[in-house]
Amino acid sequence: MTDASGLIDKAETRDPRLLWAARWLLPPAAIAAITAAGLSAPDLVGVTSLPMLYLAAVVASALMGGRVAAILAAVLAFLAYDLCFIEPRGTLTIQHREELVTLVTLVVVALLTGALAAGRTHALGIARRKAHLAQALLDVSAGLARATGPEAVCETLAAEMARALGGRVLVLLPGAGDDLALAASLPQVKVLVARDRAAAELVARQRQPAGLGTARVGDAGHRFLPVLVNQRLLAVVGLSLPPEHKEGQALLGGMLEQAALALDRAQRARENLAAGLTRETERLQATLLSSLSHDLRTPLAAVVGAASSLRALGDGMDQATRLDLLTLIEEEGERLNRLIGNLFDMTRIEAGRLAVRRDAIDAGEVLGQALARLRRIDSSFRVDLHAEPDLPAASGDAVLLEQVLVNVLDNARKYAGAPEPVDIYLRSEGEWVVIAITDHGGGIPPGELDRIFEKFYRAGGADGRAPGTGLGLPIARGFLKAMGGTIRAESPAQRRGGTRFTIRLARRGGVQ
Amino acid sequence: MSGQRILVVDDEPQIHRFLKPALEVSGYQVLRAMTGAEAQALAASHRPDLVILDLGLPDCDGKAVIAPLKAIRDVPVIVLSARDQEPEKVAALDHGADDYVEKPFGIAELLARIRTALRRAAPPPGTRPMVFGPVSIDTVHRVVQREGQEVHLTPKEYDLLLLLARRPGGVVTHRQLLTEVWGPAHRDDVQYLRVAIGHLRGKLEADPAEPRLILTEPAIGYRFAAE
Repeated sequence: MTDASGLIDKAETRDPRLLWAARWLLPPAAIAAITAAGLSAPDLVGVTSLPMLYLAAVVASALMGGRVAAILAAVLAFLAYDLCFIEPRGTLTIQHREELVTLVTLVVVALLTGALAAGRTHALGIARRKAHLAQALLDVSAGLARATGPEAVCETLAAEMARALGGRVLVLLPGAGDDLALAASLPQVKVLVARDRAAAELVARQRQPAGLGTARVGDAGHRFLPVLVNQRLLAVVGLSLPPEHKEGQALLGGMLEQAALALDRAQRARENLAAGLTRETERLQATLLSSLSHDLRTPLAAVVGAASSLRALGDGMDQATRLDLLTLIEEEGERLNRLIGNLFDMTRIEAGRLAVRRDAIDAGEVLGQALARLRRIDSSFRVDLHAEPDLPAASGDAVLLEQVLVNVLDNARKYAGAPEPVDIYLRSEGEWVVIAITDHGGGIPPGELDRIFEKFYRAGGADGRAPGTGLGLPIARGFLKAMGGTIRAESPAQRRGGTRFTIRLARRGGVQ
Repeated sequence: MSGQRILVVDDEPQIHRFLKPALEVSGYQVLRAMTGAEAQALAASHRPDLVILDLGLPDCDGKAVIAPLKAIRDVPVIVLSARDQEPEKVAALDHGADDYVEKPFGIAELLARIRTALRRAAPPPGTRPMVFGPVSIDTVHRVVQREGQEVHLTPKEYDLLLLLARRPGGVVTHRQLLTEVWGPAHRDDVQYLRVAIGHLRGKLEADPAEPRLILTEPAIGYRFAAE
């Protein structure tokens, strides 16, 4: 019932087989039954009451089957009554004038009731259709009003139109140029067949219906209609069962209008949001740029300042002071080198220029190299290493993993600010080699946990934070992603705080 | 000059690490502060003769420290800033800073600025005419001479010259000059200032195209050269 006819057709015709039965089977059956009763039980059903019974059958046929059924019933009643009950039986000859009146009355009443009943059915059908129409439009508007983005509007539109009109509904959104992208479909389809695509693209170009049942690309499986606001194409809708009735078409028109308004609203909302995001991004970039400039310039200022001091004033300084200034130059030079290295890494990640090896690597050995590098920066840095014996090899790039570990450990060193050593666990978990790094610092507030992997994000705001570029963790994540691994942060890592970074790399020969 | 106290306010330890020995070898006593609050406390307790202030402080905006520092004592303030922070520099000067030095800087440049600022901080504002090379300004009689010849200046030009000459070596912002000479309503009319400076240079400079007396600080203001 729901597939082919849909709400509108259902209101008018119900099931066509049922209508056919009411029209062609009900009248003969009813007349035959009454005639049989009159013949077999003349005591119960007298000849005088028969016209009344026939009349009842005619009225019932009119109501159930419409005008045609009423006339058929009247003709059959006339024949049955004349042949079976009016003398001489078996002929159509009428002897008595009053019997002729009875027959004529039967026919006239049949015609009148038939017309009345048919008109009533028709009027009822229209009223029902209008009610359904209003309801269906209301449902569409309500659904569309709730939908927030263009995608949600398309989904709602497909669902409501499929419910109201039946068949399959496709909603396509215009992309760049003449491209149309399937945004929603119900019942779902993955791709558009060629004829459908041709018809839809014609609609997008000409702003006129095309496809099934039209003169343009008539062999397509769907009829495609444009959704327009001020001649601007917002979407193209495809229907496998386009409504043929005036009311159905009116409903379709109403729905497309609602869809146009909803899509326009959703697109404007998204554009506003995008404009807001652009402003926010620009503001953020200005902050990042100034922060980056500060980070690069501070070590440079120390180098230039210390070098010029040595040159201009070195003669007046004692040996220890001169040595300290030279050490400062060296340290700040290395710091600059690290900052530039980080920037370079980030650029490579963003440009997708990362050459990644998938070797069998020993995570413990790489960790050792990373720790050695960190101790050159901070000789007091301490860790507690817990390594699983016979750790399987991981699939990855030793150079990249070393940088990942240096960045994560350096982060722990700078932000933990705790005297306890950093805990490092090396173990295998199913198809993964896992490196868990836990510090014993104050932890990361829940709101910031998601943001620490963002570029240039640093806990504590623009100034006065721990030194760094805010690139270490984003680089760690970028490198791991390139190696097919993951990194995750949890905080608090234990009861009193701390942060745990869990790094996973595929086991060599395990999942890829 | 030696024995004067300089308060260095910067949150980066490596800046202190070279500034302290360099300033000490140059004969100054050095006070170190990492935050704005620390700077104010040290300024109150130790009365520095000059403050070197980094604008990026962890606890507050560096500009906000200038007025409280100056309130304790009218101490010259030299601001450290980056070259890409023009608005920051102007704001700091408008807040009362006397000069700025861009990071990274050589120690010789900083020492020169320090000497100028300290000299300016103790001017003999007596009745003797101010002399800058060939130009002398007699503030009592409002007479300006160039190589002994009187130069006729309009009242605005004279006021402008005096404002600049009272802070030799220091930077005065567009806004400060406009507010003082033309009034607050014209504080953004930089064009007035350009025209007047052009006239002043025409009357006082040997070669107005290559000024040696009234120097331009692009996008910030003007500096009166201290010979």
